[in-house]
Amino acid sequence: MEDQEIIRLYHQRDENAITQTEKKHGVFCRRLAIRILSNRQDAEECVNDTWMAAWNRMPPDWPRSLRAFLGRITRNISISRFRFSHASKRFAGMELLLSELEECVPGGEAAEQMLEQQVLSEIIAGWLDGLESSDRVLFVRRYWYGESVKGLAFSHGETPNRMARRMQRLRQSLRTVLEKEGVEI
Amino acid sequence: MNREDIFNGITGIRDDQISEAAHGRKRSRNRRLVWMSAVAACLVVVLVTVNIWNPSGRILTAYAIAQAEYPKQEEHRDAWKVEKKDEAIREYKGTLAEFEKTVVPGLLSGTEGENRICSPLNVYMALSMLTELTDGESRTQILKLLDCDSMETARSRADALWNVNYKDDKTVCLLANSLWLNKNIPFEQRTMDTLAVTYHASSFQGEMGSAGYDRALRSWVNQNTGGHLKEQAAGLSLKPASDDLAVMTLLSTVYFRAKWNDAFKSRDTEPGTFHAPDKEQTVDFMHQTEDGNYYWGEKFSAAEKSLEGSGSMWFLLPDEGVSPEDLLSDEDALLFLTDREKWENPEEEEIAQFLTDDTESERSKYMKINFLVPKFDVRSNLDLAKSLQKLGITDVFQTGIADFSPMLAAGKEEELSPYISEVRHAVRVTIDEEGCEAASYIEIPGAGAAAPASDTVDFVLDRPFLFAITSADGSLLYAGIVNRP
Repeated sequence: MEDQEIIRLYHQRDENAITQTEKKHGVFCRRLAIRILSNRQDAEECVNDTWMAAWNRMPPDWPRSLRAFLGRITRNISISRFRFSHASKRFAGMELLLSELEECVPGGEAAEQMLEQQVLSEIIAGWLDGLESSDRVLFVRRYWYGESVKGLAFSHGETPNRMARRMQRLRQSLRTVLEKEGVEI
Repeated sequence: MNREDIFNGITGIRDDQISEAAHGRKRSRNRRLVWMSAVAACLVVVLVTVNIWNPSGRILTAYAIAQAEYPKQEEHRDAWKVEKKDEAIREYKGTLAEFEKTVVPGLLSGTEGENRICSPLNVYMALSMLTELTDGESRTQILKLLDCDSMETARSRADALWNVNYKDDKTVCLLANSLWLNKNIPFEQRTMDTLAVTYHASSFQGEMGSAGYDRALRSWVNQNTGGHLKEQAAGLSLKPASDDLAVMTLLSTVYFRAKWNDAFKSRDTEPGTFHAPDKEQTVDFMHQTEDGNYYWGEKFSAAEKSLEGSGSMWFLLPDEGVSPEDLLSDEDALLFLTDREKWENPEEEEIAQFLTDDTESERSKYMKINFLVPKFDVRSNLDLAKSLQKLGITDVFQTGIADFSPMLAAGKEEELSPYISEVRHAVRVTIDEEGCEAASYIEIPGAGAAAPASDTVDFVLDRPFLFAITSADGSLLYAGIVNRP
């Protein structure tokens, strides 16, 4: 079923919308959640919460990309759950992603405490626009979809070490842009 | 700003950047105008008899003593909203998957080159009803197989299963139950009432083995399976094969009919060769290219065709050199059939390793799938008695040991010593360009196990394969082996 038809079902308050969403995007959302939370049961609950959130948000929302819309909800719910008990060792997936992203945090004591997420997203999106297509895809696959470095290396015919270095360069590049935009210092 | 802000910032990047990085492509908007449907029906017949010669030859028709009523679709939708269904599914999903994993291998093995189909849900409902008719160890054995710790659990689970699966509009999924009682034997009315309320079971009384009563039985089966089991139901009789006296017959059916979400085009259907176990067979193959999830296990590859309204049909193609029956003894394939979420997502320890060592562990990919699926109309008739005994349900099959006391009026149980003499399971599943239809009853009388290298895969079912039809809650409505389409 086309995404637009699924969205129409939500707007008609037809519960088949959730069935069709689970069918088409269930694997995708589950994978996103599990990559962040490293726990099947927690991920499953996050995905169920995603369906409920989607049900509550449509209407009025009519997303242009249902997949991206659901993915954002899953990521947001997953990180909330992560925050709730981040001390737990179980959350290895999120810890790994966050520890890598730490390199992007601009240095300096006077770093802005609060930056509107939307503004930050726009800066990151602008930075992504300036990248080579292959680098942009790699960065999004790693940090939006949470794919493994080894998996990315495999699909791009590179060694994991080389892919890790490529990722490091991208993170450094993002950090530079964020600093230039006055996010830090 | 901290690292979580960066994470959240990445969450909010633009849709086109997210789509660009996705593996999948946008789905084709070219929807076919002609669609196939999938139709399936099944029946479980449990025949309870006593060792008495039945001299009756009179012809009497059946009359109902309790008639089940099915809710109107709209009323049912209001009563069973998404949240309620979700809660119910969470409660029974795990145990139902275990039940499916336990019974499917036993019911489908031993095909000897023939087709074989079963409906785990149909068997579950029939057994659940049997718990109401039995007591003592007879009941305990059944509850154990159903993984229910009490009758309350069994009832609430059966009620939830019925309601979560019930659908009667463009898509039909109907679980129907009935009891056919010997008019000469006094039954316990309270038990019949419980069955009517909890299991939507109608009860009838009549002369066991009479032509009129048999006709009424067949008519009920046809009515509740959309006529899909007409040929198989033609042989149904309330007269036991032996000279025993039939006390009661329990009938449970599942009827399912749905169209494909993305139908095949009839103009793309062409004859081709199917490599059956002992000979090559020319059959019509339906062809379609569709974006979807392609799965690969240790010994099989699999893909899903989703059905309108609810449910999906799953096709499991064993690797070269592996038979469908081999997959039934393969833990990996069984887990895929019964609990795909668990199969898809590694266990926690493995995940941790995956994340820290960057070990690749994905087992599916969203990609373009070139389906080549044979049209089929497969039927099977199984005797479930031996299979159930192997699964630990033994007492109900032995006269003098079986405890049917809740079924009969006080004092009659000891006098008659009823037992189950037959448990039959008839199933038929049909798929064509429009969708799938299946019905069942229970009478209680190419090498693919590797990640595809490209974004397109040919999924060619030209040799024996396994299939499953799942409902909206993921439960196994039907599972089968097609050796001869």
